[in-house]
Amino acid sequence: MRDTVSFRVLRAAVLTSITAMVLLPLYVIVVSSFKPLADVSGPFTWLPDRFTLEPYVQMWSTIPLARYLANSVLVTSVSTLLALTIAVLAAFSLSRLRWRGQRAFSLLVLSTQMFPGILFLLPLYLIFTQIQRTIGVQLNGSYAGLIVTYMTFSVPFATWMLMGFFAAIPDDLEEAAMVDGTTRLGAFLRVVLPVARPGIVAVGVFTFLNGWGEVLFASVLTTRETRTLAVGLQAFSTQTDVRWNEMMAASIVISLPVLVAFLLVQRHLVQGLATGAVK
Amino acid sequence: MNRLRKAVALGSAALLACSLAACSSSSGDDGDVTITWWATNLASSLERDKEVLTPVLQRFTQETGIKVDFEVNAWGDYYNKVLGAVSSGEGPDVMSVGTTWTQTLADTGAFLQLDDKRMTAVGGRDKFLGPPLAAAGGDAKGGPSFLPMVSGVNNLWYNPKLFAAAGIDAPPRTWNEFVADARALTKDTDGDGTIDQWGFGYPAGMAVELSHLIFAVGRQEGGQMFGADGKPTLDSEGLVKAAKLITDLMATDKVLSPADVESTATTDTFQDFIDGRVAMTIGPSPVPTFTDAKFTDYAGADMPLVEPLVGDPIMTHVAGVNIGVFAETKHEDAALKLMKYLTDEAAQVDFYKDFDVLPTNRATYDSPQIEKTPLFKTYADILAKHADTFPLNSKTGQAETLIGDAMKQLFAQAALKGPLSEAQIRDTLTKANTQLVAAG
Amino acid sequence: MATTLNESPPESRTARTGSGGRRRRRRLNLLPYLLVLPELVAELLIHIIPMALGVWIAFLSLNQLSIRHWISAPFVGLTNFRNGLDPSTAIGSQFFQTLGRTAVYTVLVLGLCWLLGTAAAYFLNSQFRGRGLLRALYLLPFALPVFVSAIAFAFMFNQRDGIVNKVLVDELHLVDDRPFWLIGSNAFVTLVIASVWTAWPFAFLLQLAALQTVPDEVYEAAALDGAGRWRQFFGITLPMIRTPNVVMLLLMFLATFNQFTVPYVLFGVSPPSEATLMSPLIYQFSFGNWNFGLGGAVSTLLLVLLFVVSAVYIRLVMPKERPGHA
Repeated sequence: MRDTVSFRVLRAAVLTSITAMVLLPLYVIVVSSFKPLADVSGPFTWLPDRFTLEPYVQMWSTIPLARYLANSVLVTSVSTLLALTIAVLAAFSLSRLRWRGQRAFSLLVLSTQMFPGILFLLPLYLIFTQIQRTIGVQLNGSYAGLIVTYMTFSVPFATWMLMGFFAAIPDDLEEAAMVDGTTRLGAFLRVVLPVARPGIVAVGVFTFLNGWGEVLFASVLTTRETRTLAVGLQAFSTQTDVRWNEMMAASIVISLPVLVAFLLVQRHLVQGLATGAVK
Repeated sequence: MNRLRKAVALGSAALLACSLAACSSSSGDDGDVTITWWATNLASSLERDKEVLTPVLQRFTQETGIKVDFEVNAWGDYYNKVLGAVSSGEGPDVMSVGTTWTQTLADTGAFLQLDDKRMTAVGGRDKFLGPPLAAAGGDAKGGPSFLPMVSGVNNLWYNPKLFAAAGIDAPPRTWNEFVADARALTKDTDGDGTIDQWGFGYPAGMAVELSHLIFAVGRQEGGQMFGADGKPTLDSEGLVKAAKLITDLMATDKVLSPADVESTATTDTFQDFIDGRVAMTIGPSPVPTFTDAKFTDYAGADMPLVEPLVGDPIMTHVAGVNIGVFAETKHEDAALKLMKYLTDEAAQVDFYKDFDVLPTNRATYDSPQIEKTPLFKTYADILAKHADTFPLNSKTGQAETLIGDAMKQLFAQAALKGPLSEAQIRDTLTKANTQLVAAG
Repeated sequence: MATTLNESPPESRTARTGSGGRRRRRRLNLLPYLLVLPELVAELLIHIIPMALGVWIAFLSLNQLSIRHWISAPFVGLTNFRNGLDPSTAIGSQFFQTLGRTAVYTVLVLGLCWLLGTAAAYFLNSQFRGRGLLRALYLLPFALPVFVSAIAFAFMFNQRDGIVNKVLVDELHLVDDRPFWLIGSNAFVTLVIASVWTAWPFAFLLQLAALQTVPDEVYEAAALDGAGRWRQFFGITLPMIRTPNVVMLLLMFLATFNQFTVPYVLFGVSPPSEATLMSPLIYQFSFGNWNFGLGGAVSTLLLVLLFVVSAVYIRLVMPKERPGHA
């Protein structure tokens, strides 16, 4: 496609404004992480009056950041993988196959998004407690409980989004593969999934980040050992101080590995049908 | 997959079929016992809390052989956790709670009432200072459900340097003196046309603190949050007058910066104090924050009283942290022992030294281990003579929230639109009262 | 080409023809159910049962006195619903005002997120130097916990110390009085801005992926026919990414309507009345006032309302039969 000058100008204008909008709060966070606490609580200055690395050092001892980081990585990765697997299978079934009750099921799944998340908190806690009492499986305060919770919260969104992506892929792809005798499921796995990869990656990223930043359930379902980052960050706000600068520093540090993971994963977001999968 | 399904079926059936309260607690225990304690944040960081509590609890283990598995919680979402424990019956053996949640939590029945036998096990009623015990529900029929572990008061804090510079030699004793002093201390120090030093600073965006302030001033004006019959009276005359006095500081007297409506934590105001932006504030002890920041230009005094004093000379509610034994505990004796230990002199002295909170144990006040600084004497005096419990009503927690929110709204209106009329104030408080009546 | 959701895909040829067709069909019938089984189990346990409990609570008088033995809490029928829906009471009028406000908020946030996300995805789909970098940058707000981003906004919009007023008043002299952004009617604007900033990367991410489903050949063919960029965008791109977009809009609508974290972090437990949304309101009722019955009633109403809206939406934009399917 030829890129006309007007197109390029428009593109530059739009992208510059968006970039500025994205950068501003990020800049506030970054610059605050290099200021001593007194300066952060005062009037905002574009550059630190007194530059310090102290927050980056202090934050590891104010809260056990390393442990929280490990917990978050564990819980979020596992729940994302599980959620994706379940959602991919279910989305395939709901969008590519035909069976009784499929519309009802998909609406049931969707309806879980219509209930305010906060009201799941107490009943969930009660259910976990009951399970613990009846069959002895500890879900409150364990990794398993949080993983199952996060996984289930992501699954409806993941399923519906994947349904949308799968539906946009023509049936002909599978049919072409099935001519060779493979089953519908096999065709799906071998041909459709690779084509749907950008969608799956996008949904996976979204699911991961949802769990990464989740606070409410983690605050109730974790203990000292299993506490995740998002809840841990709140501990920078204590009885005597609110250590904004350390909190900002911690947020940046914990976001870096996520960012790196992104950079690795993002090329999968741009793989299209250019490989000639269309017949 | 099959096993999970079966487990779910079992779990759901059990959930629907059996009653939650079917879980009984046995009170006998012996030998090697480990009990759990949910503690709350009192120091400058959770890690610091842990540092302080660990040796205190180790001593306990040495003395009694009981191990304590404790967890320090940040206040932020702790309430939800407590709620979860209360409703599910699954929780620690001992729990710390804030004083204003005490009555509401006591009413859930989820905490063991300390009848005469249990009271003796924890050291007896006389061990405790009057006001904190009352605040923990000490006068309840059947005994309190909680014991006061640490206590605190709100009082006036001022900057002696700024006072001296303005020619004021003593902190104000009455509300009128207070306003006059604040006016003298509100000035434009660098000549740029904007006021940069305010006579009074306050977290006017913090509902919880606001509820405490209006409680105190309200009592001075003869206003109560609940009537003698226990019904909510958030819009009583005394409270309306108190609200007007307080909001006028910003709207009419102009000694409180409108920007303070966005201060949502006491630490915001403390920082302003350190930076010399405010000369006075009213609230809980800023000493740990000031010490951390190596700031020394501060002094504490009694909160100024309204004149003429229509009601009682109450300067503060009784703040602090209470501890209770969870009703579902399987180690009642051990839990009671921990409660006794935490409120005995040794631990109380440690708490005072490390957390700068007031002891609730009467004898500690005479202990040689406690340095009787002027500040300490001020606190002790206030606690003994000018403090009262936040009303002990089943709806206290909700009342705190609702009246705090109402004050926050009023301050926002004052900042945006200027002086408030009594009618406006009454209207807002009546709305809050309606909600309180309808509350659970 | 593009199929619609829930439409009946054509029977697989192998199922209809050939030997063993009958056996194949029976096996095929079990497969869909097996595939959704894990999801069904997880949903039942974590979502459906709690929701059912939540709805049941709406019919109870559940407060601090009854919470410990909630199974035997008194049944009060429709009392909570009546309290919540009576426009003449403080609670009822608050409910309706908040409902309207949340609807306006959702439409604004959704619209802006979609615009920004689509624009960014579209332009980043064209080749130019540094686009990989920008793509990563736009996703960066994601990596930050929403809680921290919201705090950054609280900082930025602080009346006295924030960067927004610093620029508006001190540097650009656009306004004389320092406006308040976190209280009063401006609070709504701040809420919308903070929400859009934290949520638009979702739309961006999904649009990026959606745009990949359109093969280059289609554009090339259109270009040969003389269609310019805009014609291509409106005539080809948008229709082809319709299905994922339509789903995304619905899901984002539901998530935005039920938004809790951003207002909670920006304003705390007691938001200004001009910026109170449904989820924080329900939180206030249930956890603030211990009136779980009322909170449950309001949530149930919300559930019914959103269900109806979604059902209508699905019926309108995701029809069962679509002519022209190959």
